[in-house]
Amino acid sequence: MPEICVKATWVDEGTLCFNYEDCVKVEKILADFFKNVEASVQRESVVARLEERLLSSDEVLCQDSSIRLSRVFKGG
Amino acid sequence: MPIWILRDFSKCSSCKLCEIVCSLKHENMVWPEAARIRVYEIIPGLPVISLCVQCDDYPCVSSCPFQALSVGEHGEVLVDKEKCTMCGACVTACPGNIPRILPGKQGVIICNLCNGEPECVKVCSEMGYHALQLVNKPEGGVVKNYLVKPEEASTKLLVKMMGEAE
Amino acid sequence: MKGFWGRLLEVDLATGVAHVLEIPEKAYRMFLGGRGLATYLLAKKYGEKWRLLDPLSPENPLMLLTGPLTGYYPGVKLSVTGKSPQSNSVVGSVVSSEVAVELKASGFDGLVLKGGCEKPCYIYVENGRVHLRDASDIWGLGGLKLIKKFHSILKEDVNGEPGTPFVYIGPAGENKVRTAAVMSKLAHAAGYGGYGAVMGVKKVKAIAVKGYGSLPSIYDPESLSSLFRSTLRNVRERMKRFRQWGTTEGTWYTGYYLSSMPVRNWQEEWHDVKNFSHVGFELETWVKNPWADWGCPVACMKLSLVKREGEVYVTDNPDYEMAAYLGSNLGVFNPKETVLLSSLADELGLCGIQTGNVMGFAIELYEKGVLTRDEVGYELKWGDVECLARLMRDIAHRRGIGEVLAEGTYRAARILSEQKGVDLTRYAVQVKGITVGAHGVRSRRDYPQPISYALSAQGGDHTSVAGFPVDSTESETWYAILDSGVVCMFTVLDDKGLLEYLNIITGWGLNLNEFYSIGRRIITLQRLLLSLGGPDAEWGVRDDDNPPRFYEPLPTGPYRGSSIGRDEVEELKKKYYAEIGWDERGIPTEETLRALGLGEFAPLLNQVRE
Repeated sequence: MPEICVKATWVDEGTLCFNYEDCVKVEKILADFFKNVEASVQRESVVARLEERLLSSDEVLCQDSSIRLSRVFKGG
Repeated sequence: MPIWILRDFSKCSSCKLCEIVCSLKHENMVWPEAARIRVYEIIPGLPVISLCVQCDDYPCVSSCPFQALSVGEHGEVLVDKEKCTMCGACVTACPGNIPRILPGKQGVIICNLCNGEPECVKVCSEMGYHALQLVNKPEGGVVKNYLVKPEEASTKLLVKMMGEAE
Repeated sequence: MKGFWGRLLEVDLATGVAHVLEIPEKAYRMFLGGRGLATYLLAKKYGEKWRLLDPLSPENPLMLLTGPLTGYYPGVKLSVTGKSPQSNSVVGSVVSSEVAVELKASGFDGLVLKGGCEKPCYIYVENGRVHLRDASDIWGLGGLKLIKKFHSILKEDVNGEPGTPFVYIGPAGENKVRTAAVMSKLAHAAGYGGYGAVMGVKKVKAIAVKGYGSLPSIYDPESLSSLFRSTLRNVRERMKRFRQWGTTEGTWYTGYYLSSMPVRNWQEEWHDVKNFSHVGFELETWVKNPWADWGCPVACMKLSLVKREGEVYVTDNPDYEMAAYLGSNLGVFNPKETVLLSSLADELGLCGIQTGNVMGFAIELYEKGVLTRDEVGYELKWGDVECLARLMRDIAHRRGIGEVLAEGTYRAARILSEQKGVDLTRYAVQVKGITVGAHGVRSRRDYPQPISYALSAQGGDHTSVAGFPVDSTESETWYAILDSGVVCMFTVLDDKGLLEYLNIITGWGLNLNEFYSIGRRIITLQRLLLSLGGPDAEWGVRDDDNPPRFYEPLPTGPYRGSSIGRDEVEELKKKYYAEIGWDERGIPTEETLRALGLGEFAPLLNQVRE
């Protein structure tokens, strides 16, 4: 039952945590996170990191984790 | 069985990652001029890939006065750097002037297919462009047809795209 | 020094003499390269007389710089700077061009052009040797015609290699139009800042560079090889939709869904024309997909083509900004027509953003009766491609109404306001001389921070917006780093990733704090120069504001009624100044300058007017 906490640099209000029954794909965590934030973010512009490691979308997390999200470009 | 790099200009994105990884592999540094494969983008959006075609009669090999060139097991041209004097005979003998001599580099440079696992093909495929593919070498001297000057090839592509002669 | 040469090639155009400018490692360590290094060098050389330096005089240097990441990081951007004819500060403009790689392969980190040629010239740098050649055969040309002709000239005139990279200006740059860009590869433009005009003042038509050497050695070559490949893979994986549509997806996403797309001079920010979308462009105009620049795993470009009345128009996608500014902002909601206008802008060598903005400004003035048929010579109508094309040509050639519009939105508004005795600045959607990129702030769904443009050191530049937190990828400090690296923002991993890459190349061992300090340093110095401004425009604390239009509520779309508030902006402004170490006028304090290692520029504070 991993608890995944997500902190996005562009969101003021601290960290959002999600509890999952089982192992969860990074993509799913991100989708859940985006549903809860106001501004719209293009998936491509977001990069997720677990401590020092870059996370890929289809990676699976099974333990309690803290993820840091950055948005690397806004428009084009 | 000789292998060959099949090249598709229409799939080529002009990214030149092939040049970059080729120079990293052979020279351990980013040195586009030393890449054995070159991409010429004379007309924006219409790149032309230029690379040794491994002619059946290997005119470069026979032209070398110092026997510095030979043919490897995959059909690739091999250069013996010690024997090469950079005289330029092979460059002239090649119908496409593909071999290159670079200031500060010992030995002429020609694609050697990376021991049968060309790095350029790997990166082009990994990046999803698939403009370079490893195939069995075509027969019938067909490969020499690719030795069109980049400027000429570019013009053909432009006319094809615009639908009219300029 | 690892990753860069510590040398710039400086050319005196009047004499043709080139000499090597040695730059100490410390300068790169403090400013990286590109925008940062340029700002530092310009402030050092001209700081004392900054206000007097006329951007449209040959004295204003044109700087084409690379950075420590150039050539090692996937993708490529060349930094183009000088003193900006738009904002009178240094604006770090970038353009994708292999000239950046060729410069580094020539043994130089950049090229600086001083003075001007007597007659139209082009510059050919061959392995570090500078040739100044006559350009009368190509002066006046643009687009594909120019590219084809220039390639054969390079071959005949200087025995150049096929496909030698070059940057160039179109007729607009030649005519010193303030909205002119420095162009590359048909459809790329260094637009923000207006450096096309700077190149035109110097009478330099094109700059071609060919280098035969390897790039400079780096600190950790083993790590680089694998990091390069893993970066390619990581970026490729994330950007699959981007490869298919590029930023053109914004035509629908930013327009219909986020409601932040300029429509008819920003009077609205929403549309629901289904065919005016990435799919519309794809089905009607794209003839090749994908198309990339050097070292890029994304390939966001496409080759676009339309035929009309026997003429063929070729351009890239166009990207979202062009689609917005030469599309919805002008009342055009038709992919084919937008492609035609984009191709025309490319051919004329105009920045689509600055030009599309001033055109929208003109049409609204016409609509409201401020500009008349008599003074324009023809009718200005939203969505009328014939008149839009004609207006664009008039601007590029400074003909008729084009003469005043060629000065850019800010100056045109000033001139016309004076002429007509009425304040027209409320129709000018620009900040500090630079028109706002096609991402509105009123719906709060696209660019949610109301200070994005109001406080940016680069005014309306949507690729360098101010924001909180200051030391994060939400801030202009981040964009300053990208423009100084020099890297393309679409191939970047994240700040930690880029920093790791930088350390592997240079061996500097910087931490994240030090990394963002570089960003703060660059922005602060740009800000100082912005405060000095001159000669024809200066900015004060009142100019740290949004265009008046952004305070008007959106009239249409799902965010109808939404806007930003002046009080809100005022509050955020104070907070920003405090955070970034500027005083209540928005001027960097002496303490901040010293803390950032900019103490040598403290005397310039005395020149800042109240």
